[in-house]
Amino acid sequence: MRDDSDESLMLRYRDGEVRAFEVLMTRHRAPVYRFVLRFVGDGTQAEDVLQETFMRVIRSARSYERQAKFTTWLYTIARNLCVDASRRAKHRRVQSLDAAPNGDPDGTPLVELTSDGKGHAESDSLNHELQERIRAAIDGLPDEQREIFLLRESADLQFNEIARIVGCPENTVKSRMRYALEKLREALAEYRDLAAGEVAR
Amino acid sequence: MTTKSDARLHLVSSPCDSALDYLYGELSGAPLEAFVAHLAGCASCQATVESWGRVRTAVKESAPVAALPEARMQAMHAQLMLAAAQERPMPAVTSIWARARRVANAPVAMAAMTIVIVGGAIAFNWSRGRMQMPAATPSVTAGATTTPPPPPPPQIVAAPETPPAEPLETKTKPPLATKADSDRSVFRGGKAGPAPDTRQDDTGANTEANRRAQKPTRDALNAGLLAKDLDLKEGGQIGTGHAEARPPAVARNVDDAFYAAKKSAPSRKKELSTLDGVAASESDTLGGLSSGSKRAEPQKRPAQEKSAGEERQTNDAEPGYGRADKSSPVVPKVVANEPVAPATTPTNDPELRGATAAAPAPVAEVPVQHTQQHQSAGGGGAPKGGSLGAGQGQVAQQAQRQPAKGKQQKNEDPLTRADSLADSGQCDAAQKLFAQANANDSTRSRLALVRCLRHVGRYREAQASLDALKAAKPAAAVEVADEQRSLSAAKSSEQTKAKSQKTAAPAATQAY
Repeated sequence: MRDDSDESLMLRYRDGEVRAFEVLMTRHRAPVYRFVLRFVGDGTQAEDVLQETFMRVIRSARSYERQAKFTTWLYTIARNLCVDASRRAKHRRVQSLDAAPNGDPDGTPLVELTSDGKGHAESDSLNHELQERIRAAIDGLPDEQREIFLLRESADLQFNEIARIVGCPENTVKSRMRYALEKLREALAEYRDLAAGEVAR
Repeated sequence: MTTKSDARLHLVSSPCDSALDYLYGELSGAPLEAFVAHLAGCASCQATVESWGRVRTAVKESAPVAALPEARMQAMHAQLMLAAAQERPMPAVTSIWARARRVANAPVAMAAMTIVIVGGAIAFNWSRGRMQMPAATPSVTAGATTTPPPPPPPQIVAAPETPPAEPLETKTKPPLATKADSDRSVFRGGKAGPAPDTRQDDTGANTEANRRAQKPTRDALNAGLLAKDLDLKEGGQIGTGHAEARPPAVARNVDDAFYAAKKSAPSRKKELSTLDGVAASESDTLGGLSSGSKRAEPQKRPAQEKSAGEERQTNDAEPGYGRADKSSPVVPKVVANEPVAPATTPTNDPELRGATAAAPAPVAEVPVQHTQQHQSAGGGGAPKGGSLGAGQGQVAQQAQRQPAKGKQQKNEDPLTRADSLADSGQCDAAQKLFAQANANDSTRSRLALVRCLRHVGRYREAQASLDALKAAKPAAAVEVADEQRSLSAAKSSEQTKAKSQKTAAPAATQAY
């Protein structure tokens, strides 16, 4: 069952096999959570959105048909919920990097949760600076560019899928993606200049 | 050769536009080869791809390891799995409420359910006696719904000087229920405690009680009618009776009742006077009058009538009911149904009234201790034996009285003894005594023998005797005709019974 495609698993769950849903949830909960967390910026809110996303999958399973990829359907639900949550929480972009990603006051600050997982960002000031700038640049993107960038980078969805999710042509998605990349490149270029200057000193 | 659309596509999408697809690996085949060829010669595209590549790498490296804590993840997992199990979309799994809604939407099912519920409720109430069929007569209905007062202990008075006035409720008592209760308590040997309302019994018991209640009552009335008829001829006098225990609408089976009534009296005159009292009381009942005044005269009865009560009480000890059985011709069970026995002690308890009516006369002769014992048995308390009821207690008392009764019978004249024997079913012995008394040829003795033979089931002999009587005594046509009717009725009922037994036997065999 674990080698089955998402769509076949969803069909099996539609036919009453609860175990298929468990496989689906185990397979997708981490990437969906990453996307949602990046989107809403708040751990508690991201947790709620994740749970609601799968709840909607459960409730909508009866009407599921194999017309599109399951991930497209899943991220469409997640993205809509994220948009609603972002509208409710206007402060999402001022999320402090010093706050724990899941809202836990005793948790590890978001800035320390680097990709290597070692949490020693304080020992690498340049890396810490880079992360902060990149995060700020992503949060500073327009919503339409930001969601496409996150769907592409966090959820690893193809442009045509993103186009279906956001409901716009694929070329528009690509155009927005280019704009997003250009803005991030500019932010990274400033960082590179800063980093090059520090190295020269 | 390129088409217009291809040219337009070429114009709109330059090779540099594929840099994004190339960066994210969405180019394959010819487009990929074309872009690679283009990239090799386009510095702008090379710079774009390189800068975007660095951005992607930086973003991936800066992405936090965002994951839920394990505890929260497990809690969410369990919660979602529960929801998935509860709300799984398989249509076969539905809640009981959904099924109930489905049933409720079906009008036929709802109608059937309603019928079942209402019918069940009616049947339950019916079986519990809460609902009653419309009564045949208003008096019966009123009596059935009247709750009897708590019965006092039996008041058996040895020598009633001032007979207690008839309580008002005894007049409103349902006759059928009263008689049924008395019959049941006396003939089944049960305790003569508070009489249960037969209409609140189970359906079977209720039917049985009513059936039994009607028969002796009918017999009593008919006996009274016949006795009155005979008494008019022989100059009898009016006695006492239990009018309140007899419904007005009963059949005219005169001879059965007469025979039963006759058994209860040792002398013909006493018997006839008693039966005539029954008739008088019955006529009062039919006329809507109370018979309490007549029932208040038992102390005027002679001592001989009391011995008749003793005999009757002995017969009450028999477990059977109704007419004498063929197999036991000596057993005068009919006496058990005898409702015309004079009531020595009127009582409020309908059941006790029946019991005392069955054995009233000897109470005057019984010592005080004996009377007390009778009271305890009649009142529902167990006698010394433990579980003996009223009827069984009477049996014990009668066993003690038998020797005295034998001595008394020896002093009786042969004609009276012959009557007694005929009443007790000993037809042959009675015939001998009639012969000894030179009364073998009289109409009275012959009719007595015919009745005796009929009641013990010897119908052919009874018919032969009756035919002989017809031929010998044309003047006694009325009595003969009455006896002929009774005999014919007995024969037909016997034949019906035999037929029903025959039909029931093969059915039972097939069932087994």
